[in-house]
Amino acid sequence: MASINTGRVVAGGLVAGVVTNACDMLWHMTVMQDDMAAMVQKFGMDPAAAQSMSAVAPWIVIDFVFGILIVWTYAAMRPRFGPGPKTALVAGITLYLAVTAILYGFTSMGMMSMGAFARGSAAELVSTILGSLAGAAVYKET
Amino acid sequence: MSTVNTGKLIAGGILAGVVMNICDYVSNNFILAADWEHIARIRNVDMGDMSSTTALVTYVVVDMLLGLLVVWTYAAIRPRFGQGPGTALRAGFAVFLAQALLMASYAVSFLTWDVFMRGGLLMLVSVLAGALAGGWVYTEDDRDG
Repeated sequence: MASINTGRVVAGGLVAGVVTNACDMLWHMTVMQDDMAAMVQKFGMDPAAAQSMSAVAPWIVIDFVFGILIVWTYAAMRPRFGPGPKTALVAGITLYLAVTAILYGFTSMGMMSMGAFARGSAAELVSTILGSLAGAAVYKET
Repeated sequence: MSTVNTGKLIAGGILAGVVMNICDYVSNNFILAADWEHIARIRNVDMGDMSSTTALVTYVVVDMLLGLLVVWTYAAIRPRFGQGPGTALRAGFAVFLAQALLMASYAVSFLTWDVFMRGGLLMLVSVLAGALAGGWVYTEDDRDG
């Protein structure tokens, strides 16, 4: 069994991170805008601070790390399911479900409304699928 | 390539879910209890909602689903890394990292960084323990009978 191509995991992960960051930025400015504003108000945060670079930077870094994790998972699953977009989707959705399960737990604790959870989960599904497909397209072994 | 053994996946997933439920119950109700009260107070969240039966049942179900997901990941990456605890730990860590990244994004707003660090560490222990237990149950007939 060939070992994982670490260079390609990082390269694919960075591409996946760019895609998920672009998607998340779009969601935050459109479908999630009102939900984010409601959460800032509910949590008693300063709206200006919530939009500041120090607040946004961790989200950007997190998306890049998540992108690398997606492509590593794709590489790890390739011998079982074979290379290609189908395995990329399996890898991405596996990680997406782990994230969504925790987010649903937060929702049940009263952190966000069920509507915000549904919209956020749907938006994140699109981000993850597109990031997985883009990152896996870069990953190669030989 | 053999297919995933669905029966063992479910059995391993249930065991992993039970282990994770036990770990999380101890973590959230004893070790992190004061932290959650603090978070509820500073973030205007009703402590009654956080500790309600609905939230409790939700977390039990979530942990069972995560148990299945961890063992699914273990089964999916076994051909790459081989059977055994090393692969189970890799599967558990991948699932943990995805969760920890979500928690980190909320450390900016909902949580605080110190609660994130403590909660994340306990979550790591919980997921790895679940992965080891579930991976121990998961077998594939053509390889390890």
